[in-house]
Amino acid sequence: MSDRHFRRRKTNLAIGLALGGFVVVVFAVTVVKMMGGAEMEAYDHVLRPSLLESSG
Amino acid sequence: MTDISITDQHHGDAEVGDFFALMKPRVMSLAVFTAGAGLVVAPAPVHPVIAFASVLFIALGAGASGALNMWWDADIDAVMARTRTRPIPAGRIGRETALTCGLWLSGLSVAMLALTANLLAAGLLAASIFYYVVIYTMWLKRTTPQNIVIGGVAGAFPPVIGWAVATGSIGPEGVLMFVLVVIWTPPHFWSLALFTSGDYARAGVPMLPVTHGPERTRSSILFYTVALAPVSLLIAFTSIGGPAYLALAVVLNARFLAGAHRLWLRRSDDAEADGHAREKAFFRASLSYLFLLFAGLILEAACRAGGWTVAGWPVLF
Repeated sequence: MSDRHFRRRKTNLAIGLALGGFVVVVFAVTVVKMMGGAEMEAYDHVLRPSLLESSG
Repeated sequence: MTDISITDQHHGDAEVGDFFALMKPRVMSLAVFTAGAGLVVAPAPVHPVIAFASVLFIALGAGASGALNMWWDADIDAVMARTRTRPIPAGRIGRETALTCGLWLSGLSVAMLALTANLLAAGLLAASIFYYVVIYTMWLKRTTPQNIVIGGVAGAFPPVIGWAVATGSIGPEGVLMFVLVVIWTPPHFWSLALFTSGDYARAGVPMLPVTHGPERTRSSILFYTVALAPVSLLIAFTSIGGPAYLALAVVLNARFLAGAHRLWLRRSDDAEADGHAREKAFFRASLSYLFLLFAGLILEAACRAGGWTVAGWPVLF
């Protein structure tokens, strides 16, 4: 591999890592924003104990 | 794939480090530190992920400003010894690439800060980029010896942006941090210009030592250093100040004022004779002055978080 190709590969790798890092940051910010500091319980097919009537 | 596309390029292949250098990492690190300080000392808590992402996007905005500055100033950077090894004059990155990088990073950083923090912080970041690139770089830098006095405003935005990320407002503390950096900028830059004035003269940049001479520059440095002291001391009596910061500010101002006074007493012949040793020392001292003052504010914030406060400490506003 020529020196020029090696340098290009290094640049491409750095760009890939930067983009990957950006995705991670955006994902982390999204999670924090959506959770608003509290646990979420989505309206999906999972049993939500908090909606069950108390047995008493 | 052939190498034709590569060999046809006017500029050599840029390496990762060249793109990093394009963003002026030293300026970026100061922006990161002061923005982080503004965010940490603010009275509103910020989630660590939001804080990290906000500082990252502020850093990207500062980097974008640096790239756009290098795009516009490529002609004078090529003339000055201090800047001729930068990526564009050295031929490692083309001007159009720098412009593209700068514009994309500007848009990305402002949009992402708006989504991550709030519109005020994003608006301030956009204003700082506009001010640095258009007002300072394109207009003031080549037209007036007061370029860095007015242009210093651009570098003063980061602590206010950090404060706005946390509080969603600006507040008197944010304004004082802003004024502090604005007044600090002239002594910082003029001390640098005193030992690089030949460079600026060759490039045709009307820095104060070039247009008004070193003696007038030394007086101006002393004037702004004197003006800096009350502003930095006043911060001690706001909600972000305290006794530890006050003690530190007194020591730092005494040291900085003594340095400015020694510089004022100098004659140009002495400066030439010792290779501007005192000017270089003052330039380094200006960096540690600002760094330590903001570190003092962070220390006060840590003390408040730990409940170590002095009862009855006067808080003026």
